[in-house]
Amino acid sequence: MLLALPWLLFVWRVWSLQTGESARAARQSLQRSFDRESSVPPRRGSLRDREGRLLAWDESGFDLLVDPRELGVVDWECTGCGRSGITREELPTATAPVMPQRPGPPEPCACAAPDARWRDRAPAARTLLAELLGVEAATLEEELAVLRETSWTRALAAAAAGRARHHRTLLLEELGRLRKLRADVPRAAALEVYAHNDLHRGIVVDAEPVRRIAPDLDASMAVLVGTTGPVHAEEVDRLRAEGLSTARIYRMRIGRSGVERSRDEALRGSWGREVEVREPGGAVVEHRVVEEVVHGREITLSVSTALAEAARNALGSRHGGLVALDPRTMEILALAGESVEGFHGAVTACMPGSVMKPLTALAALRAGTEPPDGSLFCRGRESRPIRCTHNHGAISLEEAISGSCNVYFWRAGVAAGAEALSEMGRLLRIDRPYGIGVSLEGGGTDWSQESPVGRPWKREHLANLGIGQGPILMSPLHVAVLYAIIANGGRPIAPTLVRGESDRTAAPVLDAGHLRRVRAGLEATIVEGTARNRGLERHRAAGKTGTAQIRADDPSLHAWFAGYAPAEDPRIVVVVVVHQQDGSGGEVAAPIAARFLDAWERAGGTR
Amino acid sequence: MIRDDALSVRRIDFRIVAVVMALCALGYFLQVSVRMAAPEGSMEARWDFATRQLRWYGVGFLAGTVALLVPYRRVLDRAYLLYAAGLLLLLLVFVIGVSVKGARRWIDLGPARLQPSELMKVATVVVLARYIRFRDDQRTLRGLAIPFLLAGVPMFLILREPDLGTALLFVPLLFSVLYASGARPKHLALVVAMGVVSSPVVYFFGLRDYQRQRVEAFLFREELTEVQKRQEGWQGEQARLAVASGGVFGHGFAEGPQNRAGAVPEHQTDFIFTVLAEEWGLPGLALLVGLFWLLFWFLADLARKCRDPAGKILVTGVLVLLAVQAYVNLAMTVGLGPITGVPLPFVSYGGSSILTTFVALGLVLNVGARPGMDFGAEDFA
Repeated sequence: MLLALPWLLFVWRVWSLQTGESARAARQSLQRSFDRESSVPPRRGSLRDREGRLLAWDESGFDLLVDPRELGVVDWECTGCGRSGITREELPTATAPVMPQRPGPPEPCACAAPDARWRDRAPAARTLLAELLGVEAATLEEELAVLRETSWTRALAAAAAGRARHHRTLLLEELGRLRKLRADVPRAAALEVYAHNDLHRGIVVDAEPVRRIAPDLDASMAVLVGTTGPVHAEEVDRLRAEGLSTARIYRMRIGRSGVERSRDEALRGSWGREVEVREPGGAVVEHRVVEEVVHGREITLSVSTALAEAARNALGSRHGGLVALDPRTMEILALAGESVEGFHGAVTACMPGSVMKPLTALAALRAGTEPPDGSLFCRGRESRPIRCTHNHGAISLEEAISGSCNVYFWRAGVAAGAEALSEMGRLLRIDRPYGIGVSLEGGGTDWSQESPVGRPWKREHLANLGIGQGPILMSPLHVAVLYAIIANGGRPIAPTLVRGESDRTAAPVLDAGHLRRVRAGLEATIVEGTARNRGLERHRAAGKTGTAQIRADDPSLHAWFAGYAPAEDPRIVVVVVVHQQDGSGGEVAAPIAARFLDAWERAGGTR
Repeated sequence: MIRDDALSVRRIDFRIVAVVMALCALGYFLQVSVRMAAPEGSMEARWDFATRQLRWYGVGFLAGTVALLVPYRRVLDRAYLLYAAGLLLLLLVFVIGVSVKGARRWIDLGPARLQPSELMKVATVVVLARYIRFRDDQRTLRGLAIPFLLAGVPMFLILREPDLGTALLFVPLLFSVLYASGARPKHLALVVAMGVVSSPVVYFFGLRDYQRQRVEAFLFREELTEVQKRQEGWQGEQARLAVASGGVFGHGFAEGPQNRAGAVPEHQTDFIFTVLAEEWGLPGLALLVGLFWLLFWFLADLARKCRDPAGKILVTGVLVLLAVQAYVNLAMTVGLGPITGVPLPFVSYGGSSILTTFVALGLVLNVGARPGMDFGAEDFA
């Protein structure tokens, strides 16, 4: 009878386990542990240029990770009968945390073959893997050994720091951390490890998308495209507020510069979630999509690689930049120029000089204070306080533009006043950077603020401003937008780097009569003014040259040309700036613009 | 007068034979279930335990038959020789033994491995029966010394292998044999008290670290966090999960999720009950426990009827051995006891265990089938 008591206890125990709540809980927990939920990362949208050429795209890349616990597993095979077996490294016990030895072969195989012995299958497989990775087998073995030793050292240290009873737990926890062996390995190596995981125990393939950039991308284009990178610690909170889990945030890459950053949200897409319903044995029965993954949107840029190349060829080895845009849509076609640390020829601002004069003219016309035709007399170098390059004599507004008369325009600037100039600056959108997504973008001068030399504006500063000197900085992009608004009939459309997104409904802000006068002056510049005989006539272009003095005591100059073509129905605006040249805008910049327009026309113009 | 030692087939207890055959059939079907459920490429799938188990039943049957045919008194006459041979094998383990998972318990015999501790259990029962056969000084405290020594030496050796589970079997074995042979409960209680007092010493100095961890994993289970539970009591946790998931009627043959996943380590040997509970539910429990209780009932009946003191001790010893072993095994699978390497008699996979239990069974049937037992008590009174 005494014997029966423990047996009754046992029966009661099984009974209580198998009936009711605990049985249900067990079934549920087994169900959970066999179903594997996973997050599906979206593919980041690719970027294409105007002609559809790929500039940046996501590609599946493979990382090799290492599970230090599994590195201690030795896979044996009998040379006689082919029977295979596995020995695992014995974990050191809690009280004697010594470095474990590589496990020896298991007990001999029972097969009858005379020279049967155990052979470790791993080294042969590793040699192949090393070959696929393009490294020496010894190097790979050493890397693995180092990873193994360091993780064991760390694990033992972590275990030693904990309480005695938890040594083993801590050890296993630390050993369970996957460590990166190699990033972005060749596809063949990843497939080898994936397909023959029994031979590559302890090595795990991890698929991670890798951002690729077109290999022959010009530096100034690469700046526009931008870069991606992992999320920084200080950005985590912002992304979490968007509803992303921490695990996802640390797995994703976000745009760091250029269009990659300005269009990050569209490019990113949203994560999917799916459940693998698995049999207890591990076989996958069903894939169930819980949340559909939305891949990132593909974005077509307005810039053209071909035009960027044409711009580079036109500029040659000169320092400077070239901007081309379509005045009808304000889509930027080319944004070329030398691109070095902290400087991009097409978006970094500098003094505009005479290319600013149409703005002065428009401001004066709008204010109704323009000097009447023939009321001013230019005496060239004799003029005071500002000299002119030629003796223009009695001069009209159109003649002043085509001849780039300083006398007319300093007068016009003073006559218009700071208010009118600043209002025109705002209308022509040159008062601030555009935020097109190029991080180096600068310039823009808001003259409604107090003057750089104190309030109120002094006459000499207004005079300088009138001819584009003094307190004003404009990037080639600003100048291009200014001329584009003149060319498109006064419609201030925001410039963009993305195709098909511009707002074409903007209403004209300039008086058509004023525009006609300014455009007549710009057309005359090419025919008989400062840019004549520079090759621009054959494109029926209109434009303006500019030569800005950097400092009074410095002989070097900014040589500008800004214009559009064809004059009667403008389809392209070109702005060229060449820095620190001993030559005027007409001599240096205008031929570059002409060469660029040649290439543009050869390429079929702008569609 | 020893002429009556001839075997009488009529007197063989076929009830016991029938129950054991039923248990073996159950064991075989469970092994088939393990094989069918095993995921492709797993150890269970490559190593066909069911067929091997069948082979071992055959070998065990032959060995049992031999043990039945040789008159048990002849066996008792050579008890010390057997005992010495068993001890020698145990010592040999320390010299040429094969170690698996850190424990040296086996001797390699080419096609199979021998676990001397299994044989030693039966040898100890036999030698105790032989020692107590013609004396009654076990009624004094001093007289207990030799039986304790006889059981203690192999127990100590097995403990150092280390094999805590098998070693601990010797304790109830010794006590029940002594009790059956007439030792005073007072004396036995005194020894138990001494054992309790000295157990901390054994715990801290006699056990290996992993043995301590297992005992701790059992005793302090409630204090462990989820992670620690997974790692330290993982096997037990998985086993309990399997048993509980079976529910009232079980998942059905070869359909248990834990069995299919191979989630419970050693589920073909020590943890075979998890397969039964998971797939056969409460009917499976009733079948298994019912069969074991029938077996114990018939064995007890045999011991009661046996009038030869040595035979009685022999049967009692085997009964206790099987009962304790079965209980310790089943208790550990459902978390009622610490995890030790004790197989479930007749059902678990394992050559040495099957061989030993069949030999023990042969001896028991041997005792029951010798009409000579009738001369016992009166002749020596």
